[in-house]
Amino acid sequence: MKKIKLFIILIFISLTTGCWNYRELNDLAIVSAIGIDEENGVYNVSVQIMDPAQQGGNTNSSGSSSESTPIDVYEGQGKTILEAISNVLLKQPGDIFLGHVDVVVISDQLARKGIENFIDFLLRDRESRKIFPMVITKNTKASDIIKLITPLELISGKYINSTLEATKKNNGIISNRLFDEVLMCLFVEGREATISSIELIGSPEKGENLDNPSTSIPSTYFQISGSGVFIDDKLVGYFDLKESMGYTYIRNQSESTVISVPCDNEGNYAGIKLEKSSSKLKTTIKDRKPIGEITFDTKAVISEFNCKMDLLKTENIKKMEKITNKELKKLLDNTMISAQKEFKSDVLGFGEYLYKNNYKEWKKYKKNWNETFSNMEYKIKVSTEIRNVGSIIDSLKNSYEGNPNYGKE
Amino acid sequence: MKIDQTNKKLMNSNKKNIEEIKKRIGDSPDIIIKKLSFMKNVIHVIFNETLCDQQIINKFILEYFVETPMKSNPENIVKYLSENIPTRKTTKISDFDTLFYNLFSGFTIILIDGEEEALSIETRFQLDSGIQEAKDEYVLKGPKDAFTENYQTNIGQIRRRIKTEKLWLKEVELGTKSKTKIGIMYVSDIANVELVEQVINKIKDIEIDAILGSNYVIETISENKRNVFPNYLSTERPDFVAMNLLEGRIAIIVENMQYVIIIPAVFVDFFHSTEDLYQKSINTTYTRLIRIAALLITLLVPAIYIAITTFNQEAIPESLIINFAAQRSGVPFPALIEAILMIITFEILRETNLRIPSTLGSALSIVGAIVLGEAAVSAGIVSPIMVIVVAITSISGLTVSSSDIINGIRWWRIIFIVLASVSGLLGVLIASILFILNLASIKSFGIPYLSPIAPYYKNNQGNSIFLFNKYKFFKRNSLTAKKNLYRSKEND
Repeated sequence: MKKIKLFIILIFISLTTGCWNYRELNDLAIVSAIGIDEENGVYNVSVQIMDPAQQGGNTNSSGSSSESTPIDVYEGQGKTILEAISNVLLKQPGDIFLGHVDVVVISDQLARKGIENFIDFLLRDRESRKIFPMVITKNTKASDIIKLITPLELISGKYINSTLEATKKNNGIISNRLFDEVLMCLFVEGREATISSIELIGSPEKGENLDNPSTSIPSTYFQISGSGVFIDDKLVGYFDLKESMGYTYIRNQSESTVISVPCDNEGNYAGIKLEKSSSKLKTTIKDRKPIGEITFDTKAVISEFNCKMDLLKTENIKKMEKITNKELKKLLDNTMISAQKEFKSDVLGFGEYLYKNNYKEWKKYKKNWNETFSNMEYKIKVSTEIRNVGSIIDSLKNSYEGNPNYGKE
Repeated sequence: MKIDQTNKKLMNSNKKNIEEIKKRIGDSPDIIIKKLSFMKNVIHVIFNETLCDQQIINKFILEYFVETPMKSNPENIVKYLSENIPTRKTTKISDFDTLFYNLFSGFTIILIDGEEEALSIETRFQLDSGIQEAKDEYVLKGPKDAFTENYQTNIGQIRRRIKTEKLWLKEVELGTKSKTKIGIMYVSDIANVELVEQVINKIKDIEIDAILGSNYVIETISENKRNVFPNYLSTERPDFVAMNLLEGRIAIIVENMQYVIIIPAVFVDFFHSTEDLYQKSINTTYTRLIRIAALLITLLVPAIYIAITTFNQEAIPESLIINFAAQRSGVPFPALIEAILMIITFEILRETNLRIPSTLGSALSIVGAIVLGEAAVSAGIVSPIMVIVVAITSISGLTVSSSDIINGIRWWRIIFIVLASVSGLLGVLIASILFILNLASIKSFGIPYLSPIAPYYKNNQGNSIFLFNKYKFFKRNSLTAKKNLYRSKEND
């Protein structure tokens, strides 16, 4: 009897919870992207909501998804992000569900004033997963990106997300893609943040139209343009594509990237694919001055080769390695100069190394580190190992011009 | 409570005896009493025409009495007859209770005037359907024979497989009216003899007027009467019984029942089948894993679906959530009602399918397929995804051939669904804990139900979820077998 009583009590306890947090799937407004703009101290949040009726799952609409847009964008204003989002509820019926946010877009205007204020909301919210990508815009309003209709993928939030992912995998430009990586940068001592930037090309009004992707070249589209450089939580400028690439090399964030190196004096180039790279940062103190050191090792493959050179010979491979080293060093140097002189922001983490490995010294420089960093001397060591030359050995030029029997049977 | 009157001895007058018989059976017309004379004696041949083989009676009994030439009377007519009538088995009886028992078992009774003893001659007619192919536990490669309603045939089918004097049979007669024979079989040098004695004593203590099936026995002696999960296996396959006898288990054979009960059984045993013997061990392991996966699917899938669509939406992959939302958009019911509606519909179909004559089966399956599938979706009552969920749940529920355990699982499925709809994945977790607690609390004739996994017995892992050759050919299950743990001396 006691057992039965206990069991009944247990069942009632669980039933009287009132189904806390119970929501049917069709009552949700599933948000795929959030754009945050700011004007005169008021946040303008644009929320991109997926419209299930326009997706493939509906049995009634037989593939005719071209009647209305697959996404609905609602805007709300408020002094806090929460207020702005709750104002969205005035315009549509669903519960705002942030569990599936694909991307958060922050306007450059807001980023220049500081992003820390609203990051608190994203971090505090129970629903949102903390692993969505973040981007900042360049010369564009965030809401325009949110409203954009993209080809291939009907939901543009998802489209931006997959573009970022693919670029990161193949070009290595994307730095600190995910929200938690950005958070790390903001809170770690001795390293400043960068966030990838995208810009809109074409007119924003046309981009909202369902016709936008109907031509082979969409009239309005977005493009990854590099990354924004921060000091504390404020945007100070942008790395261009090459500088972003250098940044990801130094920060060990690139997976597989491609660079072109000149292989002769006649203006011919070879394409080198870097497959496994590792870089090490080091800051040493010499004569009371910090000195930075970057060691960059990479294993590469020649993927395209347009010069007359016999790649069977080891010395030629060595020569190619040398040229690659030089090219890579130039690339990394470029990023360093830009970070030091243009932005005076230690995005690379020399300060972080000092903080972790030489805390006594770090305390001395802590207050004015970015200034110290901008005048810091540094060394870059690059070593490349070419492991493979691809499916063919000789370049085509070499095989028919160097071979006396070419053309004869 | 004993219902029968006091046992009365046979009298030495045939007239009085027959009067008594007629009085006791209420003059039933299927009892034939035939008067003959044999060597100056008056003989009455009594038999039940529904239970006896008329041919045997004609050929061996009546013919014998008629055609044996008249000679001088032997000194002891009873002894003479029992030695001379050409039948398999002749016994002497001296009281009415035995007489009636034999009469209703299909024996022919011979009353001799002036003697206080009667003879009973076996003339039973084969009343069962004969040995047929196993229908409920079909195997691809393996013997096809199944148990019948005939007690002797059933024991014979087991004996034929284990030809050793160590295979012991104990018999108990139960039921004051039905007088059903219960056979308890075990291999004496493997099985746990103490358990056998306990079981026999428990069976002897049963007081009931009739035993009409093996469940009557097992449900009275089993220690977990309230639990939904069975702690015994019931099978119609003699080879499965033989396999389990050799593991030290005990078989209980009930007269007139074509299902033999095997005790003790633990949870993993329900995922074993006779097929395991006839396939390579390594492939059996794969099949067993599939069976366990099917159990988890049938138990968890509807609950998890409800949990993630109503509480934990962030757990659904993004491309799926939009599809789910689109499919759910026209459905008027909450997911819980939708699921219970579909599950009950399926259960009704299943129950109907079991009960209706097979000629109506195809009509039912057409209606069922339409109701459960296309029509329910296009009418907007359920979402297509729910049809898939219920379909996979139901199909997985059929992989375990034992209906005993599936009937238990059905209860738990509802508990899972309700808890999931109350508190999401947390509810599924709570239900899982309750489920495991429930299983762990069961004892099957002294053996923990979840063994050999919890408590963990390293030595028995080879034949629980996995099957290793070693356990098929060399070793026995040490939980059930108490002696001779190895199948042959050389591997000791």
